[in-house]
Amino acid sequence: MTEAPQHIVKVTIDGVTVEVPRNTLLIEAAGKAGVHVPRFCYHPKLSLAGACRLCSVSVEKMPKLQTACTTPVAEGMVARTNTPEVEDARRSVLEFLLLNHPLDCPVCDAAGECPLQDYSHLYGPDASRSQIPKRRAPKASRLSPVVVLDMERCILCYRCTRFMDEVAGDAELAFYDRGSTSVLGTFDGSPLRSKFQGNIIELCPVGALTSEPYRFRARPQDLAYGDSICGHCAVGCAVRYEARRGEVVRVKPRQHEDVNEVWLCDKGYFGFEYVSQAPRLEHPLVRSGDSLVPARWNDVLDVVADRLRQIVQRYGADAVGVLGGSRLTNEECRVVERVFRTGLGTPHIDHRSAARGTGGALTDLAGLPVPIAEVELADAIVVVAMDPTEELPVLWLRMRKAIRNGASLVVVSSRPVDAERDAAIVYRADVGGEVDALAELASQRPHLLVEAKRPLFLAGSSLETRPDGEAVARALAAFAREMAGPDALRRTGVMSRAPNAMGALRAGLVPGEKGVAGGQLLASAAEGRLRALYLIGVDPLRTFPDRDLVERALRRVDFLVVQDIAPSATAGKAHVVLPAAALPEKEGTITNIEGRRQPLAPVVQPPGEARTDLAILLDLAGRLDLREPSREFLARAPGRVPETAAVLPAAGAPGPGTKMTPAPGGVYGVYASATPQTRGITTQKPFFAPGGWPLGMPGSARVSPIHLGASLAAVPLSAGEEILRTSDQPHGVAEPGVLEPPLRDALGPYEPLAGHAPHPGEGIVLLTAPLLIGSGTMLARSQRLVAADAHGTIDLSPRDAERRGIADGARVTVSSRYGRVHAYARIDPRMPAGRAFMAENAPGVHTNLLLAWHDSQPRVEVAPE
Amino acid sequence: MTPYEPVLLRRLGLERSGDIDVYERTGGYQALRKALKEMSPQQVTDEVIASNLRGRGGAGFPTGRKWSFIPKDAPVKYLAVNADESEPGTFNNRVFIDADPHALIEGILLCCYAVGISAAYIYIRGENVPGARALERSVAQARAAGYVGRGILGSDFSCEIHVFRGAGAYICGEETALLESIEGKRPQPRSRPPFPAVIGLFGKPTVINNVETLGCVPSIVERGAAWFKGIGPENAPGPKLYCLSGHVTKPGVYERPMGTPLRELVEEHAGGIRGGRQLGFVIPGAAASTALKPDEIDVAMDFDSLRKIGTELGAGGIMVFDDRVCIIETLERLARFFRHESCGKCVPCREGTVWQHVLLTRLGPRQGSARDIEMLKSVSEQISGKTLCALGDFAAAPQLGALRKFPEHFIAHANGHCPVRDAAAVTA
Amino acid sequence: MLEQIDSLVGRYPTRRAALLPSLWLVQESRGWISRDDVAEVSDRLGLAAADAEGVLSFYFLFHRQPRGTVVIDVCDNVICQANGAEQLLSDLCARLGIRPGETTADGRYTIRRQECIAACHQAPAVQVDLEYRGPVRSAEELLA
Repeated sequence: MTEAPQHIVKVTIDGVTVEVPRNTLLIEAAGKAGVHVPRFCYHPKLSLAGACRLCSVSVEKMPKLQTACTTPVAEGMVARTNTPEVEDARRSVLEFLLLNHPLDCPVCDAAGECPLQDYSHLYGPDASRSQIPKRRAPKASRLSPVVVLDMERCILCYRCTRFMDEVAGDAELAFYDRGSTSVLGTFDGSPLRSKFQGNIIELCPVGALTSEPYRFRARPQDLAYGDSICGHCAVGCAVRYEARRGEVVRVKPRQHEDVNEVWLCDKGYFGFEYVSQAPRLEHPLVRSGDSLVPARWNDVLDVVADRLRQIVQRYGADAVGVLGGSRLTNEECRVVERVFRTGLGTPHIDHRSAARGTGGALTDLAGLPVPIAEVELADAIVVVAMDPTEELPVLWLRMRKAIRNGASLVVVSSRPVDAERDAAIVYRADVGGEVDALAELASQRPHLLVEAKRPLFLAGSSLETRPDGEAVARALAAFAREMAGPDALRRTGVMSRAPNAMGALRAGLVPGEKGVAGGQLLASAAEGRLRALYLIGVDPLRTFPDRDLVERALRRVDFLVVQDIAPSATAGKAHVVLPAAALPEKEGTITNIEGRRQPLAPVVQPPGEARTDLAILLDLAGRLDLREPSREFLARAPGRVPETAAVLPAAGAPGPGTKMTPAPGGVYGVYASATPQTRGITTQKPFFAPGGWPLGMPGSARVSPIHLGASLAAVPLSAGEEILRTSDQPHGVAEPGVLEPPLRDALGPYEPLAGHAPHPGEGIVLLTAPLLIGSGTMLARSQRLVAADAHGTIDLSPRDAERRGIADGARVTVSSRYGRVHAYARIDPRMPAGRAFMAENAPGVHTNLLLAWHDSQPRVEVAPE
Repeated sequence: MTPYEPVLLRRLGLERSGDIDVYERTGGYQALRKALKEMSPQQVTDEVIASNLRGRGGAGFPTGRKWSFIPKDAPVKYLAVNADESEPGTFNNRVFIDADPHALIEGILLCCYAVGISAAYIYIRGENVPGARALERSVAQARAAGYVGRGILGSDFSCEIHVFRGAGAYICGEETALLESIEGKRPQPRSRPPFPAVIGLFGKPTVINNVETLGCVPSIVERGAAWFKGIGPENAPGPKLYCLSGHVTKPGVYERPMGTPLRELVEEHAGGIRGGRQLGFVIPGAAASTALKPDEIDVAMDFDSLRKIGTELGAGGIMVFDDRVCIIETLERLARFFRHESCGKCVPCREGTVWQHVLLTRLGPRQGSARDIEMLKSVSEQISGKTLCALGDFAAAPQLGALRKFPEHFIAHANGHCPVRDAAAVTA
Repeated sequence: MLEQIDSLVGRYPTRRAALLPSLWLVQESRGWISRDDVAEVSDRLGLAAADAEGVLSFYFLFHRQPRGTVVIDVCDNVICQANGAEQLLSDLCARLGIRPGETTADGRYTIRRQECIAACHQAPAVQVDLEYRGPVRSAEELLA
């Protein structure tokens, strides 16, 4: 089937003729002609509303003004946006909108980046003619812990409700009543639960929806920013970190049509406080008896080098285990590999801290098999043991797009997941029964899969930890092959969640020959087979699905190094703690789930004496006796970190041309005391009407339209048309990055493996997984996202709850053979009897106390307290 | 009064006129039989095109042409019947449905046959419970008699008819709001394009016709386009249901040919002004039309003649007010109506109708100023032609029309006087 | 009730389209539509409750709180106004001791102002439990 060539038409806007595909919206064609048509309700990612009428323009041969956002162009169309009639119409719309607008710009977060403010200055009336009292509404009502609504400021553009309904699929926000008394709200005032709430703040063209974590923290003109990549998951959304006085105070999405379009999930949008809010690790620490005390980098790194050297000399290199790396940059991963594997010689390296095995289908199929942008073209998507909404939220938005385009979603899962809402088929597998479920589903030959032209077969990130992960991966491969032929393996993938899991994998941070996988590595340590553990950005005491085993491992090793950004339970047990830089403090590149290498840019400096992992590792490398060719490789890496990165084989060009200079002490990679400006950070100069606002106040300064026109003209139009969130506030269009060729050359056939049913027994099988929002280093300070008093919950089936006399919300004790925790019951009617779910990262509860490495889906008893 | 044999209301007053046996006995369903037996769908459409039947909802768009816009090859298409009738001054749908529900059903079936539609939804305003009940009952009777359902009268034409009740929102009479309402969404008008003929109800091509329009169809099919064109003016022929209300002796629905003079309707059919009063003003085409002065009522009541003198036929709601009624107070009440019914989707209507109303709440009780008059004009102009749907135009039209035709009333009010009330005070 | 809702769904190509008919069903059987009803209906139709509430709140005829046994909707639009609707309304309110929009203490009557009900030829017209009445000559006539 070949696509008909696009019919190109010529249209003229304000005298500028452009060629665009027929039926392009006039507002887009105008953009192409360099003419900005003001708009509130129009957004290219949302359905058309035609509500605000601000984009009305004059079109030849049409008697009335036309809204440019709803008018498709036709050959020879001639439109004008600068006639007196158009100007009147704009003035009129703005006058109407300001009738009831509170004009409280001085206390509004949106001021300075508010289209209503800007358009009012540019096109609005000089003074209000209204003598009507303004409509009043509650100020600062909470739509959720993170989104604040000021209904008085709302101009009813319906962007937020359209986003929630159309893009996020969470229609939990609506307008009530009608006409001028319409009000925005949730049902019954219950808080929003969507994982995509931040986007409605971005979409709001006024200050009606604001971010609780950002509220009253800064003015846009005071912000410095760095264009970087979100470090919360493997989607790798393009973001802009914004900082005030050296503190990250806000994150905004940048447009990257191939990755996140213009969206972010709430973890990405609101979860920034870990960067600049204490506690961070600010000084190197060494153990002194029961406590960790600050020490100098020089001394601490000497200790690390000496101890590692001793252990290698005495017990061999394979007495050293290295865990972590999936949160490092590609360049850092490369250095980890060169220092520890080829340099020191240990095979025990894994970026996956709880992996069961290595090689096989799990590795072959790692990552998204097609570019993210192609996901929306899929016509069938199978997800196995995966909740895309929790694991890779912005990828889920692409899946929803595919589903809206007509794709069928098939969910195979042993527990209810949110994505099921949009599924055509939900196959509730037995616990550990995905292998059988896939076999049975295959035997039914569901026509929506058999007939799919562009299917996708995806498995969740839990496979790397599950005992039957490899078996499920192979079963999925077999299933894909059966449904769609051998080539289907090129459309089959096992997902990872960590931001640079794919980069770490490519850099070789996986066990070598004779090496053991991440989870086994801790088990080995617990059994006394390892003498030193070097943990980078991982906190197994909190995350590893067997807390007891981790405790034993940490006690057992002779030497424990923890390199991390913030204090953690695991760091508390270390012999040496090395304070590292967080992602918004780093340069380099990371590689997302589709294999796209994208540049980071630092926006703030690491706190105290913290250094980038690259600097730490290069410094350490210089103190170790490393084998060739690592020694030579690392020797070629001088203190000039970006240059180092540039010569590393896997490194791309890191971000903007940041100059890093060695500190006077000759320590590698420590940031010089450069000001943000000299470190490649651009200070944002947003459009800002100096003095005099709010509008209509005496002395209000009107800014020449040329000012705005110029700022708009400067917007690059790569990667698709720039989507102007506002009149003047593009957050930037991301560089495309480098899409790496797929890792998979040889594709199975994989011998099938049996699944892994849990031990038979009484009670309820406990299923666990980490959720998007939970406890953890990077959300530890986001107290609005993760309420300080948040408590762990256990999802129970109605039958199990009833049998035990447990009411919804009741406090319960959950006990397994391995431990006992307290939690609050949540009755989920979708949950099959005999199963329960707890988040591995549930705040306020150590779920991993209940788990054992050899029994990761244990029977639990749940009792009311 | 020229003699005229009613077409649409020919069964009005007949005992059990809503029952299918009475309907059949008086010639009902003959047009459908004729169409199914003797005519192709295209022939039915052609007959309606030839009749020059124009939509009775107010816009006056040629009905047959509307039908012909529906893509022939679309596998699923719908008919939405607009029985939402909610504009102050109109009640002819209600009277017609009460009198002859089967005629509507037959009109629906003929339209569906002509266009190839197999499901029709009658959207009836939520208040009209008797009408909804009558339709439900008639549809059930028609189904039992084989006129509705699968293989109608042994042909391969199948059609379902559903009665859908609104719940109290004038905007649902706007055709795209009506579709949204049936779909279970907030009934706010859609932006066009795409037009309902391409993407309508449930995303499928959809015909939307007014009750009275469809009511004309059986007679056209049965008696031919030429007969229909012989009634009333050539450019808008056919019978018309005029609603007369207000200070007339005999308020009610009167069926007369399109183009019947307003004076004849008011003075002869409705019996003139009640209680020996003088005519104050007439609003000829329901709430959204410009009021006429007593010396303007010799106009022919059809789309084009009324447009020529700056007003509208609308759905034919003639509101007659005697010389004791203050037009500014009437306009205030109408402004309140449009404010109350504005859906809130687009800015000029949502905000402008409030502003209009507030200004009139000052002008009405003679507390306004000359500036308020100026503002009312300005605000109405800012609404007119600039809104997403016609409700904005409807809200603006009576105000702008009255400002043009009755300036002295506005000026008097701004100066603390009311010509009508002052006169009443003198007589008292 | 839920079964009835399910049967309504069959009439439409989307579940959502059964929303208004379902809400009518609830109101006609329970008199008014509570928050819980909205939650129940929306859940049955696979809608978010907020979404359903947004639709429901648009319309005038749905009662959102317990109402009187008898609901009297008095049209006060121009034609009824010109025929004495205001007098009728104030007489009714005086007789019952309530204001428009209120319900009598004994739960017997609810009185509301209503927009045009397409009964201009019956002005002043009212609806008593959505049945047309008019021309209404006096308040007594309605309360009898």
